[in-house]
Amino acid sequence: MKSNAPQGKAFWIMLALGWAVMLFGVRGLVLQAPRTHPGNFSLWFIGSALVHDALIAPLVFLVAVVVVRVVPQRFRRYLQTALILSAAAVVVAFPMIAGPGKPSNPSALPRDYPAGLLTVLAVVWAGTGLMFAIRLLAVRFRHD
Amino acid sequence: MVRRVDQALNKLWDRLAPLRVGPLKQGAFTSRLHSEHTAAWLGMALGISFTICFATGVLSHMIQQPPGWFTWPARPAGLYRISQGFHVATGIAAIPLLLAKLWTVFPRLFSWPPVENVAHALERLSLLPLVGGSVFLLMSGLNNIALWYPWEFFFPAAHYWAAWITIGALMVHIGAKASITASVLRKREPEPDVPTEPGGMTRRGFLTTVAGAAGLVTVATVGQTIRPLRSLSVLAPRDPAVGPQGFPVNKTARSARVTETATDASWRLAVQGRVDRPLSLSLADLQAMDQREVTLPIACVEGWSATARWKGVPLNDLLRLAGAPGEAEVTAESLQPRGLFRKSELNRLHAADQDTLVALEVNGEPLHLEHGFPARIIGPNRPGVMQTKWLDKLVVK
Repeated sequence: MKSNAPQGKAFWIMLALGWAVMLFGVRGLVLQAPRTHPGNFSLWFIGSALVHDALIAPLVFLVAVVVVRVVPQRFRRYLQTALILSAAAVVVAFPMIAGPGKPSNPSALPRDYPAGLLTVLAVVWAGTGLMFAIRLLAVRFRHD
Repeated sequence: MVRRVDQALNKLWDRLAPLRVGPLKQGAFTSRLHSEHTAAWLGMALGISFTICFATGVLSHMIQQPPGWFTWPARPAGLYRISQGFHVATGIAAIPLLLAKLWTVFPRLFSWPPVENVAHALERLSLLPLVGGSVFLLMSGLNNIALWYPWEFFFPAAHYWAAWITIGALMVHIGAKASITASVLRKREPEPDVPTEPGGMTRRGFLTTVAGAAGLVTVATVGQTIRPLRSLSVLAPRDPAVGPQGFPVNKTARSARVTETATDASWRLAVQGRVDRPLSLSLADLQAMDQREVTLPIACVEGWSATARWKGVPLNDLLRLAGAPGEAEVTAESLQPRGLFRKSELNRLHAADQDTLVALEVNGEPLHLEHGFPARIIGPNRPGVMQTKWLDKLVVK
């Protein structure tokens, strides 16, 4: 069986350097504890990995299973494209929409972000839909 | 010794083999897109993105809290705008790249045996700070530009130290993966690029889509600093054309608690410290001096920027009038009673630059209260938080 373990001198050198840099970061974090709140920081830092691995990733795999099992073959690639692009837009728009914004400062977050997100999604789905339509037509002409 | 540990480990995994259920089962993840090839391309792109973010981030930190050996130049005037614009734009573009990379390598989280030997254990242990740190940095950075702080820590300090932890973990990861990545990328046609399921995505299709997603979120936000794209950037947290006098405000007069002191008719600008003749100047005094007009960007740490036409008294003229020594360094203090950004430092290059102004007007009008009325610092190549508004005094050091 193929080994997944790293090897070679370069790995050990990078490991030592990398851990030294990490320790420098942890040291700075601890020294500035009144600002960095290490306890709360750790919660968010480790939580970031956990939320991804335990929540976001399984959700994505669930969607993928549905796409493969339910969606007809000829749609599949286009749907996957639209879903990936949409997910990226939703993630980036999320804090603008879900966050509190800054009502006391009219020039901060000045746009209508739900409408902005809908616009991006409309462009994405119209674009992939168009690509799909062109492909269908191309296939039809080839058969004629 | 090490070998004995490895043997004991192998024996342990053999005994635990019945635990291989669900995602731990061999072949649990069927998609061919979870390949070394996909991981290598995405890894390269992310490695470059994170390096850009780290370099520009550390630079921005050093400009604001300069170590003794570091003097940030005043020229070129738009350098900070570019470096910080890149910091934020690259971070946003990295979001789809990171999610795609994590998806690609997700099956490896369940690889069997979980730990083969000491090197493998250390490498996998380093993945926790790598994954946690990467997600934390992009998430907290995005939250920061959306002004959303659901945590207890002070964002700049936490983001800064998290970056060191993450870049250290990235170094370990590069050490572990450099040779495999290089060998995968060197192959012309590594393995046939056919979709796992009929009609599904090819590897090339997947990578192209992810690149497209990075481009999409970039276009949707980068107009906050590249003005011609502002109407396309429907998700940008700022619009460089929206705000009093046609450009955005970061700190409002009300939140800085200067509404009364800044509009008080008895306001004076003090020039003091290591000077021969301390000055106390009214707005009329300043207006009576020779004025200089310059076009300079205001470039925020949060990645937006806007160019404006500023008019005021060159700081240099005030220093000369007060009899400050040559190569003077100056602290500009705001009327703002408290807060980390109530004052800023002007190193000798910024203090001496002819375009560093005590600005009284912008775009042909007296400064709006939100832009620092009655007077503010505006200088080339400075972060927005260091363009101190509502000036109270200039202290020569």
